[in-house]
Amino acid sequence: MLQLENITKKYTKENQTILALNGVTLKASEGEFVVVSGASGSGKTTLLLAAGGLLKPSSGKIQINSTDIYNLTQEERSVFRANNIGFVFQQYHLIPYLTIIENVKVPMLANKSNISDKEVIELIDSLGLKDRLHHIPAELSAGEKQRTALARALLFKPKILLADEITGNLDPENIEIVMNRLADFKNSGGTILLVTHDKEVSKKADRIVYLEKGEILRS
Amino acid sequence: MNINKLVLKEIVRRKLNFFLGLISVVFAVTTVTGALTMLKIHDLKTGEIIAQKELETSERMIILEDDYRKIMKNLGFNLLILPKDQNLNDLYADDFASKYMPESFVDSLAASPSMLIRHLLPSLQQKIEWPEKRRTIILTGVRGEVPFLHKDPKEPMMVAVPKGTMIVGYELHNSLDIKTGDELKLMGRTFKIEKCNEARGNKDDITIWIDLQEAQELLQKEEEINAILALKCHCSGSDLASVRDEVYSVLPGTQVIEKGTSVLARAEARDRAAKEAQDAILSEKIHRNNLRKERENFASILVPLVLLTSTLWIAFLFIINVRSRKSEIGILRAVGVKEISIMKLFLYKALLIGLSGAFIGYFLGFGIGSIWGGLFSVSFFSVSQFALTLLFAPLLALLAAYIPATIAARQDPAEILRED
Ligand SMILES: Nc1ncnc2c1ncn2[C@@H]1O[C@H](COP(=O)(O)OP(=O)(O)OP(=O)(O)O)[C@@H](O)[C@H]1O
Ligand SMILES: [Mg+2]
Repeated sequence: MLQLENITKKYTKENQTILALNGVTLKASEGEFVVVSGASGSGKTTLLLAAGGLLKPSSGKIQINSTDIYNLTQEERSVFRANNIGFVFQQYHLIPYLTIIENVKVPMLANKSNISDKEVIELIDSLGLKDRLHHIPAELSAGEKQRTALARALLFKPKILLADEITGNLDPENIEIVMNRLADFKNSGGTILLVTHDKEVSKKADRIVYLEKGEILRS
Repeated sequence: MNINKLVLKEIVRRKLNFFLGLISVVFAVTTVTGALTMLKIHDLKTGEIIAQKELETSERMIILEDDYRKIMKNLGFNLLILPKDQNLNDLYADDFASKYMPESFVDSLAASPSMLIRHLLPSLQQKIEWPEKRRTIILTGVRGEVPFLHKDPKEPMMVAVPKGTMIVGYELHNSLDIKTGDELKLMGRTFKIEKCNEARGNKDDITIWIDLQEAQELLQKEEEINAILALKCHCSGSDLASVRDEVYSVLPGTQVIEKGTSVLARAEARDRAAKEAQDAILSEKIHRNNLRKERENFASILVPLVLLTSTLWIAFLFIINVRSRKSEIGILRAVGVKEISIMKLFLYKALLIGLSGAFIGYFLGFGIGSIWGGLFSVSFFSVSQFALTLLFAPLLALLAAYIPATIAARQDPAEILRED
């Protein structure tokens, strides 16, 4: 379960303070699929990074399965991320010199739990990338890259999946593959926080949260 | 998958960055090793050259010394002791001494101990007109050897001319048809011809030798002489000064000149050769030393410069590498990789660059240094130097990569990941 309580995030730049998040309270249970929507600059990405333990809010509390993640040390938070959180970004952030299978295995650098190559290949196969195992990202289409990034995020079966605009670059066919995989994840008890503008995608969500100027407008 | 494997994969699949770093370390290690090898060879060669020169010189000196000993054995070393006021110019111009000293000088000299001189021959000489024959002659009165009182009497060097007899030079007896056994008058006194000398080609050919005392009477120079010939001195040319000192201490009113210049010349030549050889060794040493200093200076400028440049270059390459891998760093942090592991990602790479650079650079530097020094020998390969290189080159690379690695680890992943 993901719980955000009265989160604010201020950016200070050249004497100017930007309130990216302003008293956001949000709760997402296990098996819940929440879409976060809103205009550009409304604070969606900020919200996602804060929820994933990568961006400490200026105030407020974030709990994941009753762990106050910003109460942890930097190192503990890294370990916590490795065990509980999966990230997917619009820009994939695949490692360019690693093959697809290697990219999917990257979380193993932080999480020592044993996952066999067979399981990894099964995961990749479930996203339709079986014949791309030994290609490097530069040789893949946008959809394939995004599916690889999703496979990587799902490797250790995280409690929470945080995805930012992951369908933005994809064609309907790829969107469907990705959404099906997200549905599987949700059905297996995972919590999803998905940032998207896509109305079709939003329809699959259990709940849609609208952000405006760092505040939740309605949900 | 672990960090080490990731480092290796990055190196293998992105060879250029690694290669550029490697070149830099190779360059630095090559320079240092090359300079050290060159200096080592230089020192060895210097030792060899100097040793060779010294050997050659000592061999030559042995030969010279030997020659000299042979010459000395046969000829001795002759001195002429003259009155102090004798003008040497006149002596050489007139062929005889014109100043006088007491005959007792000889006895004083003979009585003095510790003489380097062996035989003393006093003489009185004067160029005169032979009244009976109207010929210019050099009349020489001789006494034979004066024995040293403190030495065993030896076989006399020159047999004294018996009283009432004379020995006649070649030119005189030849032109005047004088024969041994003839009786001749000289300044009113009658002398029997004791001996007619062979041609000598010098003033001796117009010289008449008679007994010293008779000469003193004829020339009215009682108890006076004008030269003492000292023969077969036990000394080398370079000892002339000590012989002089010895003579002067006994006979302050005299001067000593050397006769038989060929001996002196040989002795001096030998001394000169020895000095020249020593000078040559010295100048070779100076030359080698200067060359070393030059090379040392060059190395002492080159080495730090190369080390600095190489360190900066590696640091620069790592900064480029860190920047180009921002996205990678962001995602690694997002999946839970710790800061320290991000540092390792770069430091391991630096370590590998340093190690492989040290390895390649050492052998390359060894080769180049050998060419530079002009000598190739496996004996210059130093295990400890190699070990130090394997230690310090990676340290250098780590030092260079440390700040970029720290920057990489400190990067805010949120900042990177937000950039869409
Ligand atoms: N590092 C930063 N320094 C200053 N301001 C920032 C910083 N990061 C984000 N902001 C500001 O915070 C606000 C929220 O940014 P955020 O990236 O969360 O928006 P978003 O909803 O994800 O927008 P988009 O749909 O364009 O991705 C924006 O006004 C942005 O300019
Ligand atoms: Mg955003």
